[in-house]
Formats: sequence, C-alpha cells, structure tokens
Amino acid sequence: MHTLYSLCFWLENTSMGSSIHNSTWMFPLIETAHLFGVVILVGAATVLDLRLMGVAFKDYTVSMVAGRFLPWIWAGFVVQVVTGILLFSSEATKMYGSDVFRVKMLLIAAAGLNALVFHVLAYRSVGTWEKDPVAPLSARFAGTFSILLWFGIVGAGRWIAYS
Amino acid sequence: MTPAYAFFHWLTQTYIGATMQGNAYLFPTVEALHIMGSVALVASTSILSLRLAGLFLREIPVSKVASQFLPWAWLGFGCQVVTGILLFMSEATQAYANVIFQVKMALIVLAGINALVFHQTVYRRVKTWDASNPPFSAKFAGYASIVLWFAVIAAGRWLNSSIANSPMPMPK
Repeated sequence: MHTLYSLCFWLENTSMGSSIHNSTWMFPLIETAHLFGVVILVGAATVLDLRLMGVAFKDYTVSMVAGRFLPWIWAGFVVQVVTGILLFSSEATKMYGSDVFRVKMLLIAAAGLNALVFHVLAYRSVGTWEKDPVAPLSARFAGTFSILLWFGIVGAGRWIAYS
Repeated sequence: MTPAYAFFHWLTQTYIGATMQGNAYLFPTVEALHIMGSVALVASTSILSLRLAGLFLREIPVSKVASQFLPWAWLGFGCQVVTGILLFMSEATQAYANVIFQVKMALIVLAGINALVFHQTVYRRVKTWDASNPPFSAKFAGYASIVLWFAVIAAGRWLNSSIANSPMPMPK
C-alpha cells in the first residue's frame, strides 16, 4: 500500500475522522464554517489585491491596506486550515483519488508562493511606491494572480463535492 | 395544484430550468459562481458593518467606507440574484415546500429591511457622526447585518443538502 494512501486511511480511521464521517450533521456544520472562512480569507485578500492592482481603494497607502486586512486574511486562513483538515479527515481516502482535490491543493500552494514572492520582492520596497495610485508591475501582477488563484480555489472547492 | 406550485413547476420546464437540469456541469458551475458572489457581497457588507459597529477602520469616515465598499456589495448582490434565480429555476418544485428555502428567503428580506431602515434613518444624519463613534442604532444595524448575512450563507449550505436528500415531489 502506498505510504500516502495508508496515511489517508489512518486519518480517516482516527476518532476525529470517523466521528465526522459517521455523523449526519457534523460534516455540513464544518462545511458551513469553511464557507464563513472563505468570505473572511478571500474577501480580505481581494481588498488588498484590488489595491495592489490599482483598481480600488487608491486613496489609501498599500501598507495601510495591508496592515488593516492582513490580520483578517490570516484569521480566515487559520479557519480554513482547521475546518479543511477536519473535512479532509472524514473522507481522506476518497480525496486521495480525487483529481479536483489535487488541483485545489496545487492552487493553494501557488497562491501561497505568489504571496511569499510578493512579500520578499516587491513588498520590501513598499515605502518607495506605496503612495502611488498605481503600484509597480510586479505588485499589480501579484494582485491579479492572487485574485485569480483564490477564486479558482473557491471554484475547485465546490467541484470536489461533485468529483 | 396551487398557483404558486404551478408557477414553480413551469419555471423548471422553461428553457433555462430544463437546461440547468439537463447539463451535469452547469449546476455546479453556477453554484461555484454563487459562492464567489457571496464573497463579494458578504465581505463588502461586513467591512461596512464592522466600521458601523466601531470595530474596524475607525479612522476612516463611515460615509467614505460606505462609498468605497457598497459598489462591490451591489456587484455581489447582482451576481447572487442572477445565479440564485438560475439555481432556483432548476429545482423550484423541490424548493417549494422546503422550510430551509423559506428561512433563507426570510433572512434575505430581513437583511434588506435592516439595510433600508438604516439608510432611511440614522444614515440620513451621517454627517453628524461620520468621524466619531457611531450611535447605538448604527452599531445595531452593523451587528444585525453581519449576523443575518452569515446566517443566509449557513441556510444556503443547509438548503443544498436538504434538497439533495428530498425526492422530486409529485404535483399535488
């Protein structure tokens, strides 16, 4: 048996995985919390992305928008990780074989990488361009990419249920 | 058959309703767009609501937060109405007697009334409290809006499983 598959099998048979799996109301309840987390994470990330793209909120400096919305992005992200792990644990072996689930995880990794690259490159010099209504190309690119990736992740999440 | 049921049944038989049911990819795609629209609508209204509650963006005047985020809320609302009607048309007869569907619609109406009352009363005098701590009625409208919109999302999630578990009802 493949190591990754046996890990999924083990997770699904832990008391956490099996109690969510065997309960009729726990899965939809956790899914509801996962949807609340989407609004917080993707909503807050999109505000920052739109500012980086120069599409909206141009009256505010980039660092002000980042300072106000990054705590919400992180709070939403934590909600998504916790609820996502709970949902995954209840159907881990099914997810092991799901192409849509793999696409969703790859998109999340890409969104994380995009944010990381933005932080260590363009955001380092934010003091020199943060008052400009239009951010440098790399920042606009990071914002556009982030919106496309996060909404792609939301779409993939919906499709997992049908795969 | 009641007139309302006859109308709902007719909706499912229209070109749009029938196409939505006949295509395996269309329903999940429209559902995905409905979730994306909920991000635009509920995140934008919640940002304004948090400002009204005095919990967020306190150094920015309320009228400015409203003018910058309400266009996005309306964009999200437009998306939700269009995608919501498409989803409804494909399963209108199942939604007909569904209590959770009725609860979701009632919550949306309440959220609308809350926003309307706020706009017609305390927001009329926004210039007098724009930069300060919002009055109690504005805070109340903010908290109520957050609770109602997140409850609408929760009802939407439960509607999905309650309709999936209900057999197609026969016309009565």
